[in-house]
Amino acid sequence: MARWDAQRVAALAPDAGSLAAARKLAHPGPWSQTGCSDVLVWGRCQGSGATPYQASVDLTGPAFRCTCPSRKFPCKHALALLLLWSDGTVGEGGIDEAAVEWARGRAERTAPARNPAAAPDPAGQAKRLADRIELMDGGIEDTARWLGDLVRAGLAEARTRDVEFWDTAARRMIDAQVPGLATRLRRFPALLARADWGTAALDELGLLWSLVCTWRRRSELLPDDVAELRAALGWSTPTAEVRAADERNDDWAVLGIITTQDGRLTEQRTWLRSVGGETVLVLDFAAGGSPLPVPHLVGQVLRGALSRYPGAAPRRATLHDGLTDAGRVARLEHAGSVDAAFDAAAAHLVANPWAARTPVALAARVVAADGNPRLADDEGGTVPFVSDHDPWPLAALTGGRTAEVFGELEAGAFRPLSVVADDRLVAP
Amino acid sequence: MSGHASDTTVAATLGTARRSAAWPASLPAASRPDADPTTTLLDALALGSALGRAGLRSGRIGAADEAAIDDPRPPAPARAADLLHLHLTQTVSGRATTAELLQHWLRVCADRGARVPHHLLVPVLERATREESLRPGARGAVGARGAWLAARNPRWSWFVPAAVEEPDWVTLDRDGRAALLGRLRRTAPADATALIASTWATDAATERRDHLLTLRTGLGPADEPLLERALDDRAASVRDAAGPLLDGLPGSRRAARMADRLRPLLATRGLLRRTLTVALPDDPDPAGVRDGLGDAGAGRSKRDLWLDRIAAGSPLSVWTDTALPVEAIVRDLPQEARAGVTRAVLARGDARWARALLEHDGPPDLLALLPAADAERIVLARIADDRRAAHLLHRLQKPWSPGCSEEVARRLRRDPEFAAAAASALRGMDPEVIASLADWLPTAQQSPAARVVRDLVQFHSALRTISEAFA
Repeated sequence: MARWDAQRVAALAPDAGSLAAARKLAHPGPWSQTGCSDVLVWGRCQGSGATPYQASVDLTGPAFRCTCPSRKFPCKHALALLLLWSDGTVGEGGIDEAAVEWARGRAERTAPARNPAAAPDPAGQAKRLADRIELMDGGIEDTARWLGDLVRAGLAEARTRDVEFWDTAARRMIDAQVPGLATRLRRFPALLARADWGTAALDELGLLWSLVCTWRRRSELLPDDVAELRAALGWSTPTAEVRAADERNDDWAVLGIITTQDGRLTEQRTWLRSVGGETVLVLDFAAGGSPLPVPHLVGQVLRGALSRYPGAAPRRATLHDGLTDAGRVARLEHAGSVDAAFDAAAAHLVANPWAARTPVALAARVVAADGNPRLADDEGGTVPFVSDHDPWPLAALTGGRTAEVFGELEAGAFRPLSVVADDRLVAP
Repeated sequence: MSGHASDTTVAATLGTARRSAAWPASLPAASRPDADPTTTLLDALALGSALGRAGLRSGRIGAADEAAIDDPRPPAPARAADLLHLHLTQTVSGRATTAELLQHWLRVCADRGARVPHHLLVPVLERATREESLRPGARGAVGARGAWLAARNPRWSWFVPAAVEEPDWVTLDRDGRAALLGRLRRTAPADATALIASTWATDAATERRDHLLTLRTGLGPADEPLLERALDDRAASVRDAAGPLLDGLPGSRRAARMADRLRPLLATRGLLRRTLTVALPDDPDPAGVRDGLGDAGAGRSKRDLWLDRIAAGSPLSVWTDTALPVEAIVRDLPQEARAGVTRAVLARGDARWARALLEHDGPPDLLALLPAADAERIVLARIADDRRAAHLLHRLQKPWSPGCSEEVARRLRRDPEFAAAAASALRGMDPEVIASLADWLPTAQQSPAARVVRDLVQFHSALRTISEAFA
């Protein structure tokens, strides 16, 4: 594994105080018996007590361990050890039995269980599955009735309801194991408060009803369509299953990264594209205040394996460990016109009717002379920016000249996530 | 852009219990044969929603926009760009200091013929939107692409220094007129005056007054007719605004009228040492009231007020026509006339009068009229008498002369209370002297002056780092 740079290590610190304390420890003085391997770094740091603290870092997580009493994660010793490793002070080689044992134990806990004796029995599995389907059936029928009541009474009346009305319905969906529906229901109050509430709420109602109808007729669906239905309802496939079923080794270019907040849940989307032209999406979530994994670098090419979830392109994927750096992206060869992007979005909806956004690459320039910034291609097609995006950094980097831009096309508006400037793909 | 038929929309909004809807003919599929109205409506919504989302299309471009021209200047060196980023994202020693460091960066960048790198244009423009002191520097350093950006984002409309096109004065609102006048007074003051005069008869009193006040910038003889007309205005606020402005035009008719009122009040006495006496004026005639010799208000002598106004409005030559030198006149000037004469001197920028007034405790505003050496001498003299006068150091032109810097440095080393009083006003000190203060620091130990000097040394070190980054 290539050594991380100091900035990447600093990003792991839980707060500025820990980072400052770690920097104070990041010199050879208090450290002994340091060493590192491909995936492990270890060392002993003399603290105020008699016995030195033993710190180890498993780079594949990353995961941290230290015998000091601090409750911070990572503690200042682990951070300092990483800083020393980053600047080359920690040399390769050496062996720390305890660290190796710990790393092996971690690997076993996080890896899919391969031991047949530990796998649940098929009969039990089938029963659990049947129970779940029954719950979901109940939840879907519940939703069908609820939607019927809503349109009988009318949307105008629904607007007068308080937030509790929607939250109660959402909670029932959680109990019925269809969290995807719950998320949609919780968004209704905000939808109904918008200026275009008429269209927006009708669209969402229609989409919910299509989920209900599709679930009822799921036995008629092809496997990929079932996969998309399950994803829309929030029935996730366990990572182990995904990894067991699919593996693609390639050079994956990081085209764009975006982090969004939906209530207490934070979502990080990372778009990757293979040399062969397949685009995949890596999704990371964090609830409450817990941290997301350290994001990759836009424009970097990662060499290694990932596993794709079942479904229609662009498929969700999960990255394997051991990815290596394979250079930088200089161009977006597949950048096309705005019309082609809208066509791609329509085709995406054919394959996945519940897709919220489509990754597209445009060859376009920023036009803003009338105070209404948007992108325009050389054929005269334009697309506006999504309302939550500040277009000026992109305008500054491109100066109104046509450039290759990657981003998400969402409800007819574009969210730029990267642009080619000076022969390099960068985030604006 | 809805994919739903209007019937469907109405029925869904009011409720199928109240309103039924026919299956939209525009949908590509037929309705379910045996469904109740609610299910039929939901089906229509589902299909309409899918059609609407999949049917989104691109817009078309209207008027073409131009791309930014190439920047003829190269970007600032990488090290300088890093420093700019640092100061934009971190306030190491307070907001005011950071603003000064950024100002310095922008100035050096423009002087060295470089420009702000593209990826820092937005932070610079945003910062200058918040901190007005950075705007001149930003204009000079953001280059062609920065100007292109500023022309397109309404938030950065402050960037454009001159009017791009002439808006219609008659239909402009109050803020628009103020902005236009502000610009024109700097470049074409006569045009501004003509605009004001064009709607004078129909503008409201507050507007007439606001417009008059803009004449202070670029005031000249061409403005006299309008001001003279304003003396007859029916609104008191307008009349009261016109008088002080005319104080700035010693060649005007009002100035001549004031001179006629002042001359009889002056007399000289004594043979060996001539002294000046100033009598208080008599009640004014209607012309005098028109020129500003009105009521004094409670608690103030009306004759004092009239003398003050006459002194402010008369040409300074009336005083020197008494054949006394300026210094003697100022020495003998009674208190009531002193304020008026000071205003006249400030309006007309006379350095000899300013020096004389300052010798007799005149206000610090007069320092701006003096050459740097004289201003420094007077400020140092005042500081020698009273350390609280240290704030006057702000008014000296930067950088100070080495002599002045040495004097202040000596005082800093000796007098900790002076250091505290002068803390924020030391930025103009000569860099060589600051370097010598840095050498003195180790011996200063814990004295309060040490902190002040340390801040000063650090600030100048930051400035030097910026300058060197462009080398």
